[in-house]
Amino acid sequence: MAKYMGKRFLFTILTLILVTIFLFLLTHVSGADPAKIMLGTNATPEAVEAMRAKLGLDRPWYVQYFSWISDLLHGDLGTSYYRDEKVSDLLVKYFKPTLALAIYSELIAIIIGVPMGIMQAKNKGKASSVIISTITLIGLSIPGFLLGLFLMFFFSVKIKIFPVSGYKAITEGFGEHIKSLVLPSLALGLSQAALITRTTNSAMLEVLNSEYIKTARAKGVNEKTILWKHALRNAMIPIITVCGQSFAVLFGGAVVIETIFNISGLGTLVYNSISNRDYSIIQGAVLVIALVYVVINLLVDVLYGIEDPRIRVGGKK
Amino acid sequence: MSLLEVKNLKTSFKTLRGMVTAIDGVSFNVDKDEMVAIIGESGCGKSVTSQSIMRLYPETDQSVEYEGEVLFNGEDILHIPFKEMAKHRGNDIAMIFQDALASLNPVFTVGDQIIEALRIHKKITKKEAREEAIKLLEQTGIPDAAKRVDAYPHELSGGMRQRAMIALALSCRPQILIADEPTTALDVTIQAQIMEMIVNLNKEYGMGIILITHDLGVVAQHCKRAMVMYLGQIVEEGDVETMFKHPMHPYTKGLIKSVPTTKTDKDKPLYTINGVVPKLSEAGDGCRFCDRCEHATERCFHECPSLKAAGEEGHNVRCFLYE
Repeated sequence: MAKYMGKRFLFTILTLILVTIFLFLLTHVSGADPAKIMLGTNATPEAVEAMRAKLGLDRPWYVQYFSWISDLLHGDLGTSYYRDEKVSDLLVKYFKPTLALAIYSELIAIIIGVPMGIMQAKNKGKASSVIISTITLIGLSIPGFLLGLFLMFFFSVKIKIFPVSGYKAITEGFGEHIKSLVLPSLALGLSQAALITRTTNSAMLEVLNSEYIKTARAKGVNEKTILWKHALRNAMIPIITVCGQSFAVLFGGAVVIETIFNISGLGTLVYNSISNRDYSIIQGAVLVIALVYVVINLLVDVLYGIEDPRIRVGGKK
Repeated sequence: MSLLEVKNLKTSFKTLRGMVTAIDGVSFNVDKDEMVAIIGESGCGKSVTSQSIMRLYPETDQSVEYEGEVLFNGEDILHIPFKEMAKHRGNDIAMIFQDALASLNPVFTVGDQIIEALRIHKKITKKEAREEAIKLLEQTGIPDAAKRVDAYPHELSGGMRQRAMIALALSCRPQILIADEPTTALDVTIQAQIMEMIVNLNKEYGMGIILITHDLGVVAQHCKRAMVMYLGQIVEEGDVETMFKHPMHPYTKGLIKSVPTTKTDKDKPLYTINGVVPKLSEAGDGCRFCDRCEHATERCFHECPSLKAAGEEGHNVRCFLYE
């Protein structure tokens, strides 16, 4: 297991290095000159040159890259071109709501998706299975923003049990915090739940057809234990994979829901920075999202190893 | 009263084209101490027969239907509630499967899988069950059992896995053991060892054994009685010695002729039965073997013969040639 973990960790570091190179080059070749952006269109060429020198943009690209990496490792992501704020502070501020939203959405998705998928597989050929599959299809087809608006209309406007929009930090009271995120989490989580239901169902159907399920039945294991212990343990790999993927997607892809519910999250920050061409923020935000992806993937790999003894020894041979 | 009496067992599966009867009226008995063989090509219903006795098909979705009776010590276990049946499985009737790698759960250690079986049927602690599991593994000839008990199936060799599978099946000392092609996936040398072990179980513990195989040599060597199945029906049954010396049914004759011996002429191609086992859904009203039979007459295509006594006592055959 240690060897397997070491290998995974090494891959993670490698991925991150590649991400930084890619990110650096992306902003470098995009042709946008931060000095010009900062000084505006009326700046004289001399002023621009002076600014470039001040920002260190006149140095060769690899020197710039390593100085950027060095700053990065010291937690310094630079300053926003537009706002007079440190990028790292901005990222922390905007990351918190996104993290909370992603966690609650994923929890909703897993709590609904996995049992529904298991039930669907268990009741194969029965009406309840068809009903679940229909609900799943609807869940996958309805866009998140539409669902968000529906939820807002019913629960905030009609019966007024949840706030229409806005985000309350956990420091402002847990109850308020949860209340502010219930609807957006549902809007994001339900379609993910549908995805997880589908994956769980197909994984369970495959496992339930395997020989070792017959063996379990032949030794007298009851059907409930067969389903929840013998079959589910073996169906976990695809389920973990899809949960990891959907969790990662929630970090970068929640812009629409964040906008509808007026939550200042990472997606919103990226969107605004792109319209402002605030490259230092884009760089920082993309880096954070990449880091989240990499960490989630590492976590998924660890879970694979715990889950399946055959993967654990993968590094042995 | 026999230990196990199968009476006119019929198993049908729901398919897209309606119900298909996979086994059609199979009857046989297994006594204590007895080792009975079921022989036939792939697709003849050998495995369906054994899995119907154990009721291994999930019954919740009504995709399987049973008719007839399976009497275990006189109790009809074919029609007791599915939950009740679980108490018999593993405890009274156990089964070993062909492919031990596929049949052992890959995410649990072999020890855990045996411990689970023990704790379902016996009131013992985890620790006692673990000791019992190690003992069982030792009995089946696994060296270093105290260590291997914590091994996952993929960490064992093929022969070792089959031994672990047998240890699992024996865990609760069942009265009947169904061995579904237990040696097919193994090397010849290991095949012999595993067969020897199964024979010993039969002799030492008086376990009734149903051996499902297409290895006629194994049957000739170890079994007293055998049934030959073809497309869901028994076509011939009787004493192994007489049946192998004087096979009656054209299918049995064909099977025996297909086995190479030291006297077989090496220059001639080996005898084969023409064609393949047809699909169940294509079975007509006539004899199910008629399409491949060298002796088929007009009558065979319209009428299915019944299993009737022929030759020596206990020898039955399903063929018009012996009426």
